[in-house]
Amino acid sequence: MTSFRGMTMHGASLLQKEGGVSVPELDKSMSAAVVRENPDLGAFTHVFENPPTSGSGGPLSGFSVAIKANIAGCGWPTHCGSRILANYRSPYDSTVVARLRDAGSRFQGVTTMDEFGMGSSCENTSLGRVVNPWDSSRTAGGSSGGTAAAVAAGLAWFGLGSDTGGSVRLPAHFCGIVGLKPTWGRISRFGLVAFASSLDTIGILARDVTDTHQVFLAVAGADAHDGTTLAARVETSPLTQLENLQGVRVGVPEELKSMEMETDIRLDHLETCRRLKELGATLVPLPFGRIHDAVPVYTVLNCAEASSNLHRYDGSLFGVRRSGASYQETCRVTRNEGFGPEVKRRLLLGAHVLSSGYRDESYLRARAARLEMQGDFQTMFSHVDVLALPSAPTTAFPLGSRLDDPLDMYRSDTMTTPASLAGLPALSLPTNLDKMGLPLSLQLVGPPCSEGKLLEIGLVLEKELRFRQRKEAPWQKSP
Amino acid sequence: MDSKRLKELEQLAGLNLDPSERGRMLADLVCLEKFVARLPEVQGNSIPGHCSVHQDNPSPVPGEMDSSVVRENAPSLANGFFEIPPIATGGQGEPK
Repeated sequence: MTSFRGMTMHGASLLQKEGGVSVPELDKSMSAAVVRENPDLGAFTHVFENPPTSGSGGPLSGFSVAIKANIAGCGWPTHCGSRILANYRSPYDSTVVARLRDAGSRFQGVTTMDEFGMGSSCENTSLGRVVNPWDSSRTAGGSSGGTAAAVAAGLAWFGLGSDTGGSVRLPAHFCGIVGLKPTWGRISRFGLVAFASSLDTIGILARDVTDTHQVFLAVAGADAHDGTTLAARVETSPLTQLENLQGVRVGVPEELKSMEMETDIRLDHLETCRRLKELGATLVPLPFGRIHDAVPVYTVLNCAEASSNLHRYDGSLFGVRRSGASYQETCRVTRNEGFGPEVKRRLLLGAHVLSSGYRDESYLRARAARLEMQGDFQTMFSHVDVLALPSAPTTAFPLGSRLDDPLDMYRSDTMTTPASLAGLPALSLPTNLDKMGLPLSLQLVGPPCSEGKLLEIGLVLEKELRFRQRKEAPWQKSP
Repeated sequence: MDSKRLKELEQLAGLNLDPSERGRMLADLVCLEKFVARLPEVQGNSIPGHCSVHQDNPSPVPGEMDSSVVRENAPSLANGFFEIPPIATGGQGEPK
């Protein structure tokens, strides 16, 4: 039987059309591999033994998907990587899950994640432990690391994650797959458990740009259940197969020269920019001084919003409850036992930056800096079509190496938080491997609702670099 | 940030840290407070159009989303960069 490892959905569809192995057959071997390999990989916390089937004939018909544990599916565990929701099962489908059902997807399972999306390595959780398919001593990234690992290892055709400050792009980079964070409001968040609502987005992880686009078309667009979705129409035509990048202006922040990053990341970024130029793009160096403020601003705002959003977990409505002598005591004991250290840290910092006497110095400053950063992007996009920067300052780091230093962990998001703060779409695309054999990536950021443009540029670059054809995660070499 | 302030924050955040957790948490928060203090100063400490909503407790009713925080931060910019419709409270799905 043809191996499903590394195969894309459009590749499998073509194979089926040509009379080769059918998609259901391939998907069956994939499900068997999940049962066999997930105990070692740890991508899924819950695998559906008999994956819920759905209507056939849709564009994603028969392809199984990995879903992050903060995206609701009716009757599924939606535990958000937290003890406080360990017993919680959603009574309804999120809009994205409903749309995938309509498109014919099969649901492989619920994936490992950092608690409520707070982390960059999937280590901030007591529910599951995931390793990187390229090197099992390293993190798959976070917080959508389980989904990324599943897709990279060939245990799902594609996956959904959530990206608040980089939680789709970072694991996509660490695992050598494509990650798309859409424009804020482009994909409905109805049924996505809230972390920091002004930043939260649902993103897509897939093996290549074409598959990513196919999933984007299936899930994007306005939703009556989510008043924050954009009314702008999603272009449904296939991606334009550009011959080259003639006429495309690519901005490169000048500050990258002085920013801390691994040497291989820096060299790969230079090399990829050179390839963009060879393909006909015009490289435009641009000043973006506020890129240095992105992580502190993001830290203040995500903690502030998390402290507000997570107030609902008081033991009275959802999940686990530990009884106390009074309501207050029940609330405190439940939260104390239910939340892990990273969540507590952010709740405390969030309460701090929002409280009287401290708010002006931190929260208001962060809001103002965010607005200025959004203005910077607007200025930059009057000169260029997209920005090109690395997806992260490092490749996948060893498990456990950053757990003792929260700041070190937060700095993983240096390259991803600027687009998050401005609500902009961003695509992480694998480019090469470093000296250790770990994936490297380029991140393209575009103006609002430019997902199609990002994917078209990404497709040209993908064809040029041929990463997927040249490299495969060692995990994929399993039978 | 000191242990007295940490106690206040525990009250605000609805937490009651274990004594064994407190030392480490305080050290982390001191470090994070310094980190976010690097933010650039805002002229006059006010933002045009900003509506001050928060008091000490960011979400006075446990279990309810404080939509004001979301509304304040949502990237529907005053400069017209985005065209995002007004935010409906509870627009983002949540466990029900």
